[in-house]
Amino acid sequence: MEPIIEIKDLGKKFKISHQQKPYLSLRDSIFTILKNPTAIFESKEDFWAIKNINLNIGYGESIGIIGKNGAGKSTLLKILSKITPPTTGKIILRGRVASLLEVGTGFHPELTGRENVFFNGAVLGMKRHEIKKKFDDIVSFSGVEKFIDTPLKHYSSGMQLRLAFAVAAFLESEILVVDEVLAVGDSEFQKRCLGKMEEVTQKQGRTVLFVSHNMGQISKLCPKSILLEDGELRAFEKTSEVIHHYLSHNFQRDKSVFEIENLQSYQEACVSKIEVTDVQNNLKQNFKIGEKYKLRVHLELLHDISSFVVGIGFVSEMGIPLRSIWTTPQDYKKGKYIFEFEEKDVCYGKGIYNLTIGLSSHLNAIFYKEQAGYIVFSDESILPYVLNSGAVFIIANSLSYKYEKVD
Amino acid sequence: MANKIISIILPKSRFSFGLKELMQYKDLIYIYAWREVKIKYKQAVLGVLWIVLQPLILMLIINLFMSKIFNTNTAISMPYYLFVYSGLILWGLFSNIVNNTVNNIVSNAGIIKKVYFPRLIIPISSGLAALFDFIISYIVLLVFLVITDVNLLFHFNILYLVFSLMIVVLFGLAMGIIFSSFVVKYRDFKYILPFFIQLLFFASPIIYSFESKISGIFKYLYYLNPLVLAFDLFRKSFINGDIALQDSLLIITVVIIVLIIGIFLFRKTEEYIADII
Repeated sequence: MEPIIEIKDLGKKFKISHQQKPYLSLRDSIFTILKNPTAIFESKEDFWAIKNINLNIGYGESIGIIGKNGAGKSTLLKILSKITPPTTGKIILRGRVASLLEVGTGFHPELTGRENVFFNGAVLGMKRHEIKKKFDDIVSFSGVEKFIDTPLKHYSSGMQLRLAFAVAAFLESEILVVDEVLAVGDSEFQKRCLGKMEEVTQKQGRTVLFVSHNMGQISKLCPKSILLEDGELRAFEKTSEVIHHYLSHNFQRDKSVFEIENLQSYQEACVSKIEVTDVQNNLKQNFKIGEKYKLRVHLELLHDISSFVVGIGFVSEMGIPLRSIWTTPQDYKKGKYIFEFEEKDVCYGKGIYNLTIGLSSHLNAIFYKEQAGYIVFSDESILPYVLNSGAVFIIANSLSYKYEKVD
Repeated sequence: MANKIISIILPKSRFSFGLKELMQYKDLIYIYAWREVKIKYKQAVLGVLWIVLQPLILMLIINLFMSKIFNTNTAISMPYYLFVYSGLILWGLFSNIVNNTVNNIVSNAGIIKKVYFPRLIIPISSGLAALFDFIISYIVLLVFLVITDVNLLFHFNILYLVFSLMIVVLFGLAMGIIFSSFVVKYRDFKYILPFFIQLLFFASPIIYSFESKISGIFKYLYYLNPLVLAFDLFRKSFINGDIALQDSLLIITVVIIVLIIGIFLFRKTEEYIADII
């Protein structure tokens, strides 16, 4: 079957003049030409937001779009939604496109919820009778029934968001283009949206293009993803592969000493440094799968603390917390310590593992820091097999730790 | 499963007025216009009443200060307040269309950047919203006519009314989209627009008639303004008067040509509007 979206040699060029302004001013244009009449003919600097994109997307596929800020993700979506035309190439669409580049486009604070639903729905391409038909469903999905005839300005931002997403959730089109809209709102809202998105992609079998910086969301919704880098298509394959490729190429993952800053606010205890080393205590950035590592945590107790625990959490590159290790509660005297953690029989799959570090006393957290550091495991394996990204293989619970007081 | 091509996105589309596409979006045109009317009077206690009050109060002020000066003008063949009120509401229609179109293009930048729809919807719905205001104030004009002289209603000339409204609406749309095409690129035109509107106000027979006082080249310039004929037609639709039909047709043709040029310009701007607005 022919693909539902066919993108051929797509490119979009912007001209950037050297004095970038929010808008052009007539005076500037006239003066430039008066001062230097040849300026009209001088070519301005070209900037290709995207170039040479070739892509075929089949019916019912949901594709994640991954890339750094400025990689061209939004430009690609804008061209697909006809907001801006491409400079080269073409796109053949074999279905209607509904694009959701933001939720609540055109919401006006003076209008009531009801009025805003009608306008927002119409702007997103729904017909009036369509909105009327779905109106009750939209309102009950949003959960703001009681306030539907109240002006939007009296809504909390969460209510506005829920109403806005509810309208979008009832769009009917073969192709749905979604840009980072799930990045807003609280976790309950995000869960709800994600659930709806799953329904759209998996149950209704629609074609979805989904941009997000949240790798967990992308890998949950999209079996396949594309990677954009500097406007070019770098990869189009299984999402986990693309994410791994993206994370390992776009972030400097070559540190083994992590200094933690801004510690002034901690009154009781704080972690100042984490070091990742091999078993011989040499600093190391990149481990082979199955290779043993050690974590050295430098911390300071500002006074004597009883029933004190140091904990380290491992979070996968998809943002999923995998496991944590803890010391046994014990009383410590004021001072600086180095805790050394070692695990003999735990293997991690290839990938990057972010470290969360926490200190507690009598089960109350006194220090907590996410992404305090990371460990990287490469493709190479010293085991007879390769573990996939995010996989942890615990042969035996073999945590050992020791500490020394340094001051 | 449908397998036919629904649409193709190309770098530059062939020029068209996009009328077919506009028809597909007629619900959005309606909702856009309705939203504009709602927003405008939402927080005012008197609400829609302001549509009537605005020209009415202006008429009273002008009547108070100007009637002594302009009343003696022989060109005005009706009570001065009627002359002023009819002039003000038709002028209101024109200036609302132009101003709303330009303002809405700029103030809807957020929507333009995030959603696609034929951008001509904004001027068209701005025009419709202005027309709504006009219709309400026109009803008040009819009341004035009845109060002044019931017989006036029997001389009513609907063709004159239609022609005058056509000229005002089409010319207003043309000026609106031409100015908004410029404003999108150069915000300077936002500051030029009020002067242009003011100039037209003084050059048109709205609160006075100076037709008989000019001659020569100025007379040609005077009649070059399509609004002159529109005001004439509008007033003669309810008082007995004659206007050469070919003049009307000529002016309407000119206005339509200007409008087509405007649409052409606007459609060109539309292609890159989301990039620069």
